[in-house]
Amino acid sequence: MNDFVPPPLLGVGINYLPSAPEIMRAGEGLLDFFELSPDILCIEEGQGPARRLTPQPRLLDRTLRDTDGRPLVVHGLGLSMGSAHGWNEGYLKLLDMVHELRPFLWHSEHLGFLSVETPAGGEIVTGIPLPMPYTEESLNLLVPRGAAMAQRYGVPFLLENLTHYLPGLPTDGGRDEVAFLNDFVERSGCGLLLDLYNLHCNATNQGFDAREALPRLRLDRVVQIHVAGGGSHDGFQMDVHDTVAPEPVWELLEWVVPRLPHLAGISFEMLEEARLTPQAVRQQLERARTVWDRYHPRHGKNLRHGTA
Amino acid sequence: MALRDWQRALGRLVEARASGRDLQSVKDSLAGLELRDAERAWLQEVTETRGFALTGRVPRWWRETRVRRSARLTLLALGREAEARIEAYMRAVPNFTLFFVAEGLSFLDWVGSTPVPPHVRAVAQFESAMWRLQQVPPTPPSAVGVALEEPLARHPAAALIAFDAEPEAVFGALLMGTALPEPTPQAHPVLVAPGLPRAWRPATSEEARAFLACESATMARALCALPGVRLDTLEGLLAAQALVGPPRSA
Repeated sequence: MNDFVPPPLLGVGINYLPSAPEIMRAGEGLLDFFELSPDILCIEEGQGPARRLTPQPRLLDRTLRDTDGRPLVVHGLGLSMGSAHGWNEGYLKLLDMVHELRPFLWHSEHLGFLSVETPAGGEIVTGIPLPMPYTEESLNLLVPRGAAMAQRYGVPFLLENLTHYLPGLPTDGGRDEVAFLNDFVERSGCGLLLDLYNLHCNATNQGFDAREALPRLRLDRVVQIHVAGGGSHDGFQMDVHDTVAPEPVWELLEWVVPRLPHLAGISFEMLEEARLTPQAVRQQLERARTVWDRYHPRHGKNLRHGTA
Repeated sequence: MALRDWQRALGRLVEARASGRDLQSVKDSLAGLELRDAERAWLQEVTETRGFALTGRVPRWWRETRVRRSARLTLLALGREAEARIEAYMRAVPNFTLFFVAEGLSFLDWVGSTPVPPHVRAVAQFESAMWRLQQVPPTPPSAVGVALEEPLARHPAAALIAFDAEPEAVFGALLMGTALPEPTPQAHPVLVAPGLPRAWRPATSEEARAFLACESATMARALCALPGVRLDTLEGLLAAQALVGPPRSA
């Protein structure tokens, strides 16, 4: 097991979208860091173990240029951390290359799996991250993988709570997601990316109280917070990140930030497909900034980009 | 629980729902998996829940979106059949990617392998070729002079597509939403290559002949033995980077 070492304070960030330069510019003066998902720069060739992710040279160049001068953290989409038949080796190779070009301060991934094997020995992609059962067997898979990720890049690895829509997941001894995440960080030495919108979705869809769940979480391991929004469909709050964050998410943020001793960054997360205006995005960042500065005033003034 | 078997079952159930296939064959396979009775029961019952229906709807929506964005021209060419073709594609080809172009190319290849109305196959091949071209890094233009004893090869991303009518007329009709031209008896080859101003242009029959004969490295002399093919035909193909010659020192 690695020892948990909190990363340096960053501040407020956004997920980097190379195809939305006007949105990225909307954060001028407010952004301390970028969160990059290297998958979005790539084309994919091959399938299964032969899968290869190749960055498109122009996109990669633009990304390196646009993010230059600000700290970078990486948020994986396609590692399929929880796939029992094997995670996505192609993604790891991509990440090795990104790390060579631009070291990052931490890496995060979702608590779930995206690919499964077929009876014929092939692989299918589920197309949506599916949740893990909250069992010892899942922990036995994830704990060494989380520790290996931290060791491979020499930076913290964070596991993110997942939105899902499936009721009554199998569990050992009554563990819920919070208890599972706590066991994961305790055994692996890893940290947490607390996605408050994902928590809000699960609480709404599965009928629990997010304010009851949060205090049970190992808040001392939360390194990053995601703030996001999304629409609803058929009575479900959807994990689509295409709107501004709803009020309950901001209320959770206000409650939780003063209780996180190792929080290093709050980021607004949105999809490329979101129809948010630059002004709307700026308002989200300003609101996150207000909360961050309230509890990290000196840091906010000292390290904000371009104001050293 | 065998986590691997549980994931295999849940993943296949979700993928089958997302692709519009019947779940029964996956459910039938549960008996052979290493699962506890309660887990087997959960997998059977969860498929009846609204949450499972939504879980299947999300990847289905993404797959449709990926196809719609990556195969615009081909879907226009399919016209009223487009929706049914997307449905049939998703049933026929299991979900294998989260990437737009990979899904688009898969759809275009699949369309090209099925019986389709006139022009659709050519449009699908054209759209596929244009995507493949975008995926290769740009190469600087090379010298276009060619000697008879030089070996030539196709650029890996170049393609020649046989249209059944003037390609401009086909594209014009697609974009204007008017009737597609009637197929004609003569061939209308289209060259897709990285050195062309818009990445494509109509090809002459001599260019088509030389390009098709150059499947593997072929001496220029052999290509010039083809009817109508001259050195300047090959030089045109080299300028378009449809063919590439051996590297030359500066």
